[in-house]
Amino acid sequence: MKQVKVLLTEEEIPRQWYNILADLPTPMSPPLHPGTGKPLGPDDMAAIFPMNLIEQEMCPDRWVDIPEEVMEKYLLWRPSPLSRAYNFEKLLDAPVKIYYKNEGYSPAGSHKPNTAVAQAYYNKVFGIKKISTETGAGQWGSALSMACQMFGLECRVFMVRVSYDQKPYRRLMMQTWGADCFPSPSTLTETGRKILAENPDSPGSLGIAISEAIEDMIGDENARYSLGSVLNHVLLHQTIVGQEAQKQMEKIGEYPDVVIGCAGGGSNFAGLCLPFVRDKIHGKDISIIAAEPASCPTITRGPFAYDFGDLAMTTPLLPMHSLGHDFVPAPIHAGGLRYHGMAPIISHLVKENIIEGRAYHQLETFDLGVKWARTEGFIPAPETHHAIAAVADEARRAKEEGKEKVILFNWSGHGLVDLASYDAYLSGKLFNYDLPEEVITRAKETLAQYPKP
Amino acid sequence: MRHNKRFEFEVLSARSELQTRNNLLDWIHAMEKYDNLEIRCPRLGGEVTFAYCKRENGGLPCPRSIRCWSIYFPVESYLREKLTEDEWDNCFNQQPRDKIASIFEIVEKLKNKRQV
Repeated sequence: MKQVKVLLTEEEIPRQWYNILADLPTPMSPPLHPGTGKPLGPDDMAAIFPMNLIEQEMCPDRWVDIPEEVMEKYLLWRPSPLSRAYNFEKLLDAPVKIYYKNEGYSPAGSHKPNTAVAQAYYNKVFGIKKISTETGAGQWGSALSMACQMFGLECRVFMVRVSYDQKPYRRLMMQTWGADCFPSPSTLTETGRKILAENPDSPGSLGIAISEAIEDMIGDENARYSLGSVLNHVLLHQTIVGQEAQKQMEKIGEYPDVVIGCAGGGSNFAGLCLPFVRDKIHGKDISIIAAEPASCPTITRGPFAYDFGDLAMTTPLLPMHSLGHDFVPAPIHAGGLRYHGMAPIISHLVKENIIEGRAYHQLETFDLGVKWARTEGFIPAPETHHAIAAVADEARRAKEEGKEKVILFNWSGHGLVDLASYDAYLSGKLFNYDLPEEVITRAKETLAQYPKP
Repeated sequence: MRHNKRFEFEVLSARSELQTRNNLLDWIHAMEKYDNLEIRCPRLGGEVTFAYCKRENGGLPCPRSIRCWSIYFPVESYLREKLTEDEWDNCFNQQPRDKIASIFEIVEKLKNKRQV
């Protein structure tokens, strides 16, 4: 019988997190204080994060010990299995071996608890009683709610109203784990009240929810703010994923040619990939791919691969292509397109050409996510679809090149709380737009007056 | 005869203006239809309508909206029609701050407000 899962014993779990900052070929620019324009220091950060996490944020050490109390909680679901996707391989019919690290195995169903548990622990040790945060659809909010409950902390989550109304299950998960989950804008903060006074039906935004979460804790000595992506210490905590995967691959005598993760804010990508980035910096021949969502196909590229210019943050002008045909709108400043929620470490690695970025359209990602569920059984979170799309893309390339490849990717979470998204896809609601031809023609005429890229 | 020509010209102009207006109304009508279209928002991690995206940023469009919607309909021309030049610049021609800088900007604002 073929071996499907590669498991580690609890004794084999890595005992340290890996800090990529120690191995970067070039140093990163420090974040600047918006008021002074000078690099942010520990004192600036002390108002919102506990000092022990700030120290981690700036830590130059390559390895950071995982506290025993955090390890005890990790062991509830870690080490997570590494599995070989034989059925998906068969479907793709390409000369590839596909391994995936199943982070959907955690109680919250995603990789997010890897940092939520660590952050709750460090806040607790620092004497903090309450943590405030924001959440979009609730993946981060639910992970932090669980972690706060584990360490006896009060947790207050400001959830963007539009998601709060749409995603009752994640809200209920938060409440089940004892957190207070508020629709944002709320009446709890001045920011929320002001917005509600102007627009009582405001559906909220991530920006408003962040403002409310910060306002909720600022000035309260016993409260701090928490973030589930972007920051260095968040990425640090996630590296247990990649280190486990390295041990698991070693156990079966394999090493990946390609490592893939989806990149939203960067934390799940970093979790699997940063330990392999270290290998690459030290000479290993390995491709590391960050897959992100995109909506605009380029005409010149493959069937569903697109530019990643906004993540690299290096492209001043990014021509956009519409409707997938000859519809070419005016150039748009990349500043306006860039997703500013990306972790600086990931952006830096893209700029250094250590990581390659690829973007995939949601139609193809959903299609492949459904194919995955129909072959491997597990229903992936829609974010995870992007990594699956990159896997299929790599398999296609391997087939074209006639080259065998070992692919490893982060199956970052299950989609059981995202079935409404599947419903939208399966019922054709997301994509089945029949635009009248005259509307398209008129749009082209309107755009004709703007300069072409 | 001359008078008739002028009259003819005025009728044609009026008709053409009416046609333009009707076209414009059709155009607006068609565009409002987009409000109910749904897409998965990469920032929120859930489905949102275009009506949400076009007002997400304090009443202005989300800076990602062109990137996210271009494949479905001519969103750029639609937004150029709807927004003033200043609004367009505020949405799409600004260098965005990274998330950490945004957070510290919020903290500074709150601190200053409380000191006042």
